[in-house]
Amino acid sequence: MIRLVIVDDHEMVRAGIRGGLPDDIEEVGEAADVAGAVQTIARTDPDVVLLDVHLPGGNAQEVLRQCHGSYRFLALSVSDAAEDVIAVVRLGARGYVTKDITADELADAIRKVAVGDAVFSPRLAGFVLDAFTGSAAASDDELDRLTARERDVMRLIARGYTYRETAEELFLSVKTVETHMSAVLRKLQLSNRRELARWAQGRGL
Amino acid sequence: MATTYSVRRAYRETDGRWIGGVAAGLAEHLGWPVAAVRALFVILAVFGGIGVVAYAAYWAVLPPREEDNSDTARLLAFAALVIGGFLLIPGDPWMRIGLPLAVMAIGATVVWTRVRPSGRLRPDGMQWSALLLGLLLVVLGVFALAATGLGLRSVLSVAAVAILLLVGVTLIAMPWIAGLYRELTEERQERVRSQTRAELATQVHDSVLQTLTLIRRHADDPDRVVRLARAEERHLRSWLYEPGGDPDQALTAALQNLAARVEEDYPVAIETVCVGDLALDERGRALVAATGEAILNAAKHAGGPISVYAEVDDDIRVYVRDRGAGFSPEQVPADRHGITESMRGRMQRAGGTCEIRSDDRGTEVTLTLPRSS
Repeated sequence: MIRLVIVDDHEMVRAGIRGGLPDDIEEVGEAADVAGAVQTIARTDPDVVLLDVHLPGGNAQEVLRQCHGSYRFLALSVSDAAEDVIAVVRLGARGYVTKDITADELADAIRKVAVGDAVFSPRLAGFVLDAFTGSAAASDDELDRLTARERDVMRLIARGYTYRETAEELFLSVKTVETHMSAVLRKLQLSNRRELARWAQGRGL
Repeated sequence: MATTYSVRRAYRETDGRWIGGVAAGLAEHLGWPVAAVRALFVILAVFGGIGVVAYAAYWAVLPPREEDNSDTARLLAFAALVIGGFLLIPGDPWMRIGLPLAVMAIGATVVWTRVRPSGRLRPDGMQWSALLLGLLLVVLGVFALAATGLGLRSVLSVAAVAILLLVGVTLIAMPWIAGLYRELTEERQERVRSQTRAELATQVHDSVLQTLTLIRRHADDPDRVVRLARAEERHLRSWLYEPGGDPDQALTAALQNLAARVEEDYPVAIETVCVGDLALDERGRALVAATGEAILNAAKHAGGPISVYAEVDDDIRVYVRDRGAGFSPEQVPADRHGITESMRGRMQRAGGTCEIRSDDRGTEVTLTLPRSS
């Protein structure tokens, strides 16, 4: 059983998510703002926090800052703006999904985050490719580069392949694909590439 | 019958100028050869310096044909030239009047070129130093001019009186100046606010309200409602988060536009991801057209979610993937066959390739176009 906290300022959205949860995911708390989220998370000690990127009273980044390290976050948003995606991922979210995701896909994403895997939407994969291949300047820091394999994985995710399909296409196991994705997530969070810094800039990062 | 009059304005040329573009601008305006105008200025300059003063005055008055920032440097060079020129003719009676006038004119020009037509200062780094320099030049010119008539001592006392008077008037006028400034600032802010509000209102009215009305009217047709809602969401989102981008000019905008149009006509969700962007030329447009056919194909025959991924690298690659039942190229119905062939033909004519891979889990069309043919 995965214990889930939902943080979103819209009651309708929370109700919709709650209604679509499968049996193996249990909602243990809800919050509508930053303060409420921090309290609820501390009180219920969930496995996964589903976090809306745009919250009143500060924003999701504040929640990530105050709870960082101890919990696994999956970011949720209606916006596809690059800044939002990159900012929450760099603060420790293990994945990013948009609100038009289906209930099944969301449940899948929550399960992945619960066991520590990364969740990449095609769009997030696109951002990563953009950020890590954008400038030709080669860096010596391995954090600033994707390996050829990681790039292949990102490309297939961006093309709309599922993890399983990606694994088959590259003759890898699903587990290996997941390892590559975690590695990319780590680089996304730790690299100081100019493109990432630019996105994070002006957002208090 | 309505007649329109267009006033022919004179400009300073920013292209092909020697000093400030005055001579070139006047020549263009008058229809004279540039060389003649330049010669005239030089002759007038040599005989008494009038040419220099006139040049400086025209410089100040004529607007540049294009916004340009190299004025200050040119101006300084010009000023040095003029002052040097005057020093070369000692004892000339024009020197006592011409030089101060020229200095004043140059000073004023420096100040004026720092100010935009709107009355605001240009936001560049050296605006304050340039302003100070200009003011200093004007004041120097005034002093020199006055000194030739009155003698240095009386000029100084007159200047003292003038300064005191200026201070007094400023003190008296302070409340009005402050009030005026505040009013101006408030007015400007209010204008910006109401503009934003109007823009938002238009946007909401044109799109959201219309769509809501449509949705209400088609409440019994869930398919239609979903389609309307999705198209509206995409529209609003692109307005909020991704301003700009001309679908006729750039690959990313073109693909997003394609996806939006197909989503309006068919009950499918299309996710478009682009890495890098490309200015569209003839071949690029062929690629976009072929992508459009691939998306349309997928929307018509497969339905369901469609992924579009474009990558601009050494080659340009576009992938269109659907989750339909797939098809095998041999058993393609005649109408679909036509579309597939036209997609291939388009890509080949543009020097690219079109690959289609299909199985029971869906179809993926890969369009490849080398960066240069």
